[in-house]
Amino acid sequence: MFVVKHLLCLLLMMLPMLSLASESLQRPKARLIQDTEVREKPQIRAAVLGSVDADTEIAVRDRVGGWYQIEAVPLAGWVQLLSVRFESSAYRPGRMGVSSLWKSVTKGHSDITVTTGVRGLGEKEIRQASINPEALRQLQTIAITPDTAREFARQAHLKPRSVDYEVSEND
Amino acid sequence: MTKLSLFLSLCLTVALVGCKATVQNFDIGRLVNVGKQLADQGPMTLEQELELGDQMTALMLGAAPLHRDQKLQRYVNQVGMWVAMQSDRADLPWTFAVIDSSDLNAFAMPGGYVLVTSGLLDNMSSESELAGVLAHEIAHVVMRHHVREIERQKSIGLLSDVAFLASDTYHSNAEKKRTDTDYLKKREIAETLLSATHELYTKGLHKDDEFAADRLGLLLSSRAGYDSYGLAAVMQTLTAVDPGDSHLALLFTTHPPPEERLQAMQSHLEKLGSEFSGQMGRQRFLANIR
Repeated sequence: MFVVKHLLCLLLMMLPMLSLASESLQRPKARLIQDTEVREKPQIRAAVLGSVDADTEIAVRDRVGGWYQIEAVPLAGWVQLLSVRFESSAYRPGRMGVSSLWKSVTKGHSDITVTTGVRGLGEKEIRQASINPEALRQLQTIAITPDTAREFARQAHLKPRSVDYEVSEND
Repeated sequence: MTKLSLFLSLCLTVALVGCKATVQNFDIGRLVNVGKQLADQGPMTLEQELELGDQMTALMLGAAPLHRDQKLQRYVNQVGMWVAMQSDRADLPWTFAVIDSSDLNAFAMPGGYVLVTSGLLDNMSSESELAGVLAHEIAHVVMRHHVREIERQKSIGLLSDVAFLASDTYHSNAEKKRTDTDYLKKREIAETLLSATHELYTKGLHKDDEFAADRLGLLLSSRAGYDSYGLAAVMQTLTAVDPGDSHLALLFTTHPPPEERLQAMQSHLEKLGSEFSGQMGRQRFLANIR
C-alpha cells in the first residue's frame, strides 16, 4: 500500500513534466534549406552562435519579423525566415506553424471559426452559389471610413513608411 | 472586349439613371442594334466596376456566411482600410469581411471588396500576417486583375445590365415563371455573368497576377507600417499543412504553390530589409481574434 501510494505520488509529480514534454513536441518541425548561421538576436548584426547545415531538422519556437527562433541541438537562436521550411503534417485547425505555439500559451484562446467544416468554401460551393443580396447589404454596413482607419493606425502607433523601392508589374 | 464593354456601359447607364422598377421595361433588342453602330468605348468605367463588384461579392456571399462577430469584422476593416489607404486606389469604397468557413482562403472582388476566411485567420498569430494577406488582395483590386479577366472573356458576349441581378424581378419567384423573350434574354445575360464569376473564382487568375499581387502587397503592408514578413509567414504556415488537405483545395487550385511564392518574394524582401522595422501587432491581433 505504501509502495502504491508512493508510486502514485511519483506519477502525479511526473504529469506536469509529461505535459511540458508534449508542449515541446508540438513545436513545429522544420528544416533548413541552406547552411545557416544561428544568431543570438533577430538582427543581422547580432553575434553568431554557430552554423547549422542544410537539411538539418530543427524546431521552431517563435517568429520576430524576418527571423525564426529555432532549436537545433545544441544550438538555440535566430535564423532568417526564408532559410526555414516546415515539414508538412496533418491539418489541425488553428494549430499550424507558429500560431500553434501562441495558442498553447494564451489562455482562453479559442478559434473563431463557428461552422464545423461540414460545408467548406470549395469549388462546389462557389459553383452552386446564388446571389445573396441580403448578405451584400449587411456587408456594406460594416465598411469603415478612412478617418476611422487613420485613428486606428494612430492608436496602434502604425506609422506610414515611405518605401523607396518601386515595383513594376514586370519585375 | 469592345462590344462587351460598350453594352455593359449602355445598360448600366440606363439602369443607373432609371430606378430598378423600370428594368423590366428595358428593351434589350434595341440595345443590341444600338451597340452594333457605336465605336469601342474602352475599359470598364468605375461605376461599372463598382456594380460588377457588388454582384460578384453578393455571389461569393451566397457560398459562405459572414462571420457574426461584429467586433472582429470592424477590426479586419480597420487593418484592411489602413493598408488600402497606402495604395493608388485609396478612394475606393474598400470593404473587408471575415467569412465563416474552416477553409483557408481570401478573395478580392472589383471595386474594393475583400473577403478572408475565419479558417485562415485561425492559423495566424499576428496582425502583420492579416495585413499581408489583405494587402495581396488589395493589390489585385488596385491592378484591376479581375476586371481585366471579365473584360477578356469573349464568352460573356452581351454582358449587360448587371443591375438586373440586383432587381426584384430577377429574384422574384413569380417572375421566374415568365416566358416573354425580353425577360428570358435578360435572365440569360445575367446568368452569363454569374457563371463567369463562378469560373473566375474557382479557376483563379493567371499565376503572373498572383506573383504581381504578392510584390505590390509587400510594398503596401510595409508602407502601412507593418513587418514586411507577414505574408511570407502565412506562406510558411501553409507549407506546414499537408498539401492534399481539403481545407486548402481551392486555394491551391487558384494560386501558385506557397514554396514558389516564397522563392519569388525573396529578392523583394531582401530589398525591404530583414531588420525588424515594422509592427507585428501580435498582442492586438490575439486580443481581437477571439
